[in-house]
Amino acid sequence: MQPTPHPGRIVVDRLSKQFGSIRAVDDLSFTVEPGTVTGFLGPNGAGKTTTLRMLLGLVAPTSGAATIGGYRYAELPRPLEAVGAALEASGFHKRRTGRAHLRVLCAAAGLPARRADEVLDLVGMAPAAGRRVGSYSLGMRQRLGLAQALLGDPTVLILDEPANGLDPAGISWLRDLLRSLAAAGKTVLVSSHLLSEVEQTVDDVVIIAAGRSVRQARVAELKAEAQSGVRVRTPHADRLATALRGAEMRAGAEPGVLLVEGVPAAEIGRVALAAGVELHELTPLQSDLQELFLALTDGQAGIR
Amino acid sequence: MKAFHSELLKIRSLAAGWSTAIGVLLVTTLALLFWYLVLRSQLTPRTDLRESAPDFTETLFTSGQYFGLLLTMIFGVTIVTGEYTHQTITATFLATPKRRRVVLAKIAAAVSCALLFWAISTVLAVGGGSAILVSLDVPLDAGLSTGFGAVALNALAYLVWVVFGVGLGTMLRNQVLAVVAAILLYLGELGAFLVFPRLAAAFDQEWISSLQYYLPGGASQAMTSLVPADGVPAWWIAALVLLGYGAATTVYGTLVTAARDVS
Repeated sequence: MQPTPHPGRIVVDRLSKQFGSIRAVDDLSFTVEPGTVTGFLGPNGAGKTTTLRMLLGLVAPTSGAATIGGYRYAELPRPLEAVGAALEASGFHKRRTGRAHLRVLCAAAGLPARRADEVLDLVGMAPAAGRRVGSYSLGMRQRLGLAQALLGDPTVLILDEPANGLDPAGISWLRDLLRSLAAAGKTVLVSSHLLSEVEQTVDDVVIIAAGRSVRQARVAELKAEAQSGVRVRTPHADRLATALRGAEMRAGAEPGVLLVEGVPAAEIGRVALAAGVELHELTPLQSDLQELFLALTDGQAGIR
Repeated sequence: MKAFHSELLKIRSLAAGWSTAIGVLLVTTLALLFWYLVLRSQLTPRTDLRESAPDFTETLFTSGQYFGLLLTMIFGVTIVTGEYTHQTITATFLATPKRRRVVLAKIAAAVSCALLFWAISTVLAVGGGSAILVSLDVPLDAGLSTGFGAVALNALAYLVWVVFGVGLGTMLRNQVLAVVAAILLYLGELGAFLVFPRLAAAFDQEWISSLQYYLPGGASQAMTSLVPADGVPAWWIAALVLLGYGAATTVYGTLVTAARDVS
């Protein structure tokens, strides 16, 4: 007998989707564990939204499977109570109020109508509940989308670019919300095209480019990889290189520039002084995750 | 049942349902006025009022039917296409991933609304129509059975056309395209009325002329006419033809809705 899968585990198994001649998603596999926030990252057009839509039963996979707690989405007995999703192209009727939009979904899911006001309150939208969606700002629509995702108090949350259109205060609020949801044992899968946007929030990342997985890791691992370096400008690069024997370094883009890794700037200055090497510049570089992300997804054009 | 309740809420939270109801009310009022003027000008002292009563009663009791059905069908189209235009279909399918249920719920909600539109039109048409008959000295009792028969068939027409509208909406998700197609199919009867008799004359085959009654618009006309006319099939044959169109579009629409990617 197979062990019963955790209701909050997302399993994407060799998932592919072909749109005409374009392979939007290509043999993609990953698992998202309950109680974690996982960032689903990739440049625009990498296949993030298509993957999420396949996970939610909106797009039929060409091959492979995506399950939540062992079920395909369409087989979930009470879908909104198992999975909450906020998708980018999920619209609202401009002439419906935020409250009416959610009440329609409450009725469809068999949830009490008061849940609409509860989740609107949760996302800070209570004052605008009775206003038509047409009058909402982009940030308010994002919040309404989140309210929709939270409607059934689901075990799993799937959010597509939820930070788009949020102001800095909104982004900070979103981070806290996602962290608290994960702390409550929920599974959160959040897509973004900016690693820097989610690096403070997520535990794990799945990075895809051109429909394929290029990296799956814990954020802590990635941070360790993205070491800092020091840029040194000197007319005597060869002498400095000799003096810094053993350190990892490479020539910079301009003549007379060295990029030194693994040695602090102060140490380089001391070595240079001792060797009598003249320095024109000594700049510590913070190579951040975004650069690593770009390197990983490099050459995989987002627009195909 | 949950999906049905949700569909009713969707309709109630927007203006389309009320606008259609008001539209039906308006076309019924205008039609009553129109028929009153026409009948009054046609009547002469030699008209046999008792003999004309069934025809008059049928016409008056279903006043506003022609445009009322068109408005109801367009309403049926838009409750489906509106979801694609405003991209609310994603939220709908997330809440009810079994898409057949969504289509069935839409049909059930559309039929409920169509019967309400029919009821609004009928109360006005029977009330106003009776008043007109009395004012023209037409004996009410002579036309009553035909009149109520026509009212019942009118209900069937509202039902079939709204189902046809929903079916069209599921087939053609583009709102403008679907509404234009609906209008063409409905008013196409006007063109068929001109084309088929000419074809029949050209080929000297009388049966070609009656083909027009097997197209949706013509079938609807045939179904709602209880007073017999040459070459027009019986109301129940026409009803079966129309139900066939409604069933075909619905089944096809349900199948494609279930199979299509939503992105």
